[in-house]
Amino acid sequence: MIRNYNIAGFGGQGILYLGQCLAFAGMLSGKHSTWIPSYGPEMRGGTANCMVVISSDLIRSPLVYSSDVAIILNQPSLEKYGPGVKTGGALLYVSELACPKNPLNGVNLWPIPAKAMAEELKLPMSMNMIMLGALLTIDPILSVNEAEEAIKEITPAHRSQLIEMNIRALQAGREYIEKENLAALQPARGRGGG
Amino acid sequence: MMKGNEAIGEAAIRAGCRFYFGYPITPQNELLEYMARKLPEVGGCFLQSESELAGASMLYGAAAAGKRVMTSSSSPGISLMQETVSYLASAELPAVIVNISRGSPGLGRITPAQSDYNQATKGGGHGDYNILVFAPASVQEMMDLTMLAYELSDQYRIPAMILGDGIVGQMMESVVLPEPVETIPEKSWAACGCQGRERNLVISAPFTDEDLIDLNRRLQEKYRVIIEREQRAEMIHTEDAEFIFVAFGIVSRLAHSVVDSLREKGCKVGMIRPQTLWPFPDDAFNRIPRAKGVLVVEMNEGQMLIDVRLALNGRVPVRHYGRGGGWVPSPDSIEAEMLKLMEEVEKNAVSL
Repeated sequence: MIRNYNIAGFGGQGILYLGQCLAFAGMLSGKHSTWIPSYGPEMRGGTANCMVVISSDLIRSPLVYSSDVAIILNQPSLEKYGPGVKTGGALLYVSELACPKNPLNGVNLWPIPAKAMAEELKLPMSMNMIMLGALLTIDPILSVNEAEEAIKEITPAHRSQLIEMNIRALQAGREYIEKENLAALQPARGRGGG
Repeated sequence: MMKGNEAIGEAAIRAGCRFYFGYPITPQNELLEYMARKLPEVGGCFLQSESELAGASMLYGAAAAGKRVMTSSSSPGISLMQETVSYLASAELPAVIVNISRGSPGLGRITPAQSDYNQATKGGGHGDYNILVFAPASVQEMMDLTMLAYELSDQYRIPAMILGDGIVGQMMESVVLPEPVETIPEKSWAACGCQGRERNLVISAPFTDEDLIDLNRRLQEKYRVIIEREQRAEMIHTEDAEFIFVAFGIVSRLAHSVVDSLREKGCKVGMIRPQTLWPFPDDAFNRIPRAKGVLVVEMNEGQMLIDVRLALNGRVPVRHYGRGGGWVPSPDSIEAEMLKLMEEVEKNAVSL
């Protein structure tokens, strides 16, 4: 089992944190995981991205050249990373902020209205966690519980008030996929990455 | 999970390092920040110097007092430190210097690179000297080789360098924390106050012409011992491999994925992964009995290539695949280069 992830959006959307939660959850589940951030001036705004690999075997390349899954939080990132998703892979994107302009053949598209959902939760900064909850429901190589544990582990003590909020958003992402009964379609339609 | 840069800091503290001096530069800042946070907690001293030159000189001072010390920087900052590295070598002082190197020459950019291979392994500053150079390829190795660097640096009284790149520095991976070092060997030569004993002198400039020639002889003798004993390399499928990659650091992981994929296709490929760049693992090249071709992959214009050629001494054709300036090869392109070499060798169209 191996998954290569590209995660991308604007600086400030919690892209790197999303990736860290995913990678930590991978470790907590007993798998190998790697995480590489963009480490330039993106931290101060502009585009941000990170690469995550989770595998049951030792990871050779921590760099992601073509992804099993892309999680996209803005239009420029969709244009950059959408074409890099493997055939049979999954592209999750915030449907209010990004829209594929060109056909992506063989890629399973998962538009998620995370912006509206985050506003409904009154947690406008939580789109990243909504997307993570959705991801782990669509492609449950890790459990949402493991992601919750990861959130608890990596959130610094002085920001502990974020833990509960992030877990709420994670659950909202999970419930959205379950309620829409989308995950149930997974085996029949070959969803969920390579 | 930890970042590679943080792993170096944690390992240094576990190895007994209590003095860090340095000046910020991307992509190694997490190490400096880690030391700023953690060293005061263990009664250590973190000092952000006004420049790399000053930081390196502070390192010299604390090392002369017999303490385990660290500085870190990235390529252009490491160039600024080279005068002191030569002085450390001359005074035979143990110290650990970290270079998380970046695209160069000049100020360059923060992209990952391996273009400081020559500087690290051929001295870097003035004079006939070498320092230990370690090339970690994972976050775990950032820790393990840092621990080893302190041990060997003390044992041989020689500066040691951890030569990483922006990717191994920035990436996070899970690590197993090494046990802290309980007792650091006594340093009878240290200049740390001489009450009740003869005073010690730590000098980088011997007093007579003969003394300097003697020092050089002594250094070379020490280097000979180190070359004999301290070469380290990971050998991957080399026992039956006909075509062999040589790669260090992050590139070795990309090449390793190519070894896997070519093996699946039935190609007898393997890899030598140097973990020490000085001493260069020459002996590893005597243990590739089936080799018909060697491909050196590195993120520079052909620096380790020279050492590989010397180690093989014309026995096997050697090709290079690499570029400087922050370029990172894709596994697909590495595989294509290897297939090209295999074809050339099979067609007998290859010269040394």
